[in-house]
Parts: sequence; C-alpha cells; structure tokens
Amino acid sequence: MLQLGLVIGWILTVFLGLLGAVILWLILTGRIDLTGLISEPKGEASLSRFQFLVFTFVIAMSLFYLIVTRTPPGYPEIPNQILALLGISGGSYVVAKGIQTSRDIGLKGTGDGNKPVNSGANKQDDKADT
Amino acid sequence: MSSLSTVLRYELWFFIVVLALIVTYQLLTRKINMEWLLYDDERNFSPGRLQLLMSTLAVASYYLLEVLSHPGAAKFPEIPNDLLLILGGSNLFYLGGKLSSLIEDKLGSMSSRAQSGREDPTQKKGG
Repeated sequence: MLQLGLVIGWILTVFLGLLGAVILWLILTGRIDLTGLISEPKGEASLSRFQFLVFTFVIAMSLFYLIVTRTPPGYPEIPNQILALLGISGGSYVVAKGIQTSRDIGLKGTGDGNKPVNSGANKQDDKADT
Repeated sequence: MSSLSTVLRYELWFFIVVLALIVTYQLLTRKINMEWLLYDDERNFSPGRLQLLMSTLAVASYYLLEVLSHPGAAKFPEIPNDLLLILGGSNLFYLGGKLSSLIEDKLGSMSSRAQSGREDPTQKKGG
C-alpha cells in the first residue's frame, strides 16, 4: 500500500513538473502571451488587476515558503487578516470592473464607445476570452 | 519518501520563482502592457492611482519581509489592522475617483441628450 502511494506520488510529481515546465516554456517562447495580463479590454493597464497580481504572488510565495520551512512540512493556519487582504484586493477589482463596464455601456449608448483606445492589447484579451 | 518531497519542493519553488521573474521582467521591459496605469479614463494623471500603487507595493513588501523573518511558523504572520485600514482606504479613494468619473460621464450624456432633444424641434421647423 505504501509502495502504491509512493508510485502515485512520483507520477503526480512528474506530471506537475512537466506541466509547470511546459507552461513556462510556452510563456518564454511567446505562445502564452502575457501582454494583456493587467490590461482592460480597451487596452489601458488596470491598477486593480496589477494589485491582484501582486497580492496573489505575495500570498502564494509566502504560503509555499511557510510550508517548506516547517518541520515536518505542514499547511500553515491562515489568519482572518490575510483573507481580508485578499478580499480588499479582489473586491476592489470586481467593483472597478463593474464601474468600467457600466461606463463602457453608457459610452456605447451615447455613440462614444471608441473614446479611450490605444494599444493592441485588446486583441490579446479577445483571444484570452475565447 | 523524503526524496519525493525534496523533488516536489524544488520543482514548485522553480515554477513559482521563474514565473514571478518572467512576469517582473516583462513588466519592467513593458512587454506586459503598462500604458496609462497611473492615468484616469480621461487620460489625466491620477494621484489616487499613484497612492494606491504605492500602498499596494508597501503592504506587499512589508508582508513579504514579515514572512521571511518567521521561517517555519505554524501560522501566517498577522497583518496589523492599521495597515489593512490604510489599504482599504486607499482602495476606496481609488474606487471613489472611478465612480465620480462614471457619474460625471452619465450626467454629461444626460445633459447632451436633453440638449439634442431641445434642438430637434427647431430642425423640424427649418426642414
């Protein structure tokens, strides 16, 4: 039984390693395009998306750091403040998105929908949406 | 079993760190679009966005340093409530600016509609 667990563990480890390597390779070769990672559909960069990105990396790295530095490795307890931090960031992103959408609909209604367009990032977003 | 966890540990570290490095590099070289990050919808420089950017980076770096100074902790280090209040207030300020711009737009479009409604009867008379 222990051996079966070990085999499954190795299979999952190899699978995760290959998956991670493929994702990184596709990003490095430009086949996964990150150009529009923090952009709105119209092309301008979004601060809410940027904030969400920063906190996601900070929490992910912190979580992993705490797991591997613990002996024996274990999942750390998550205090409410962390959830509040992610909630503020995620909530701000959602509200900003709602305001932006409402604004865009209003602009379309008045026939001024092409107002703030600048870069080709909207093409990337269209691709990501599909 | 220990070799399995060691391999898993290294590969996850590698993935997260390389991904963070790629994203940081692409942000710095502007391959990831950063245009108009600090400008509002009317393309004017927005102090609200600047303060949100600074408070985000300050809270993120503070928290990373907190975590790095508590290796092996059984619990995530707590964030002082004051810091959360600063971040929340900063987000509110940013969203308030966005909302006021939306309201301004709506009022502007309503007044232009009302104006065009007033102009229509004269056009009919002229035609």
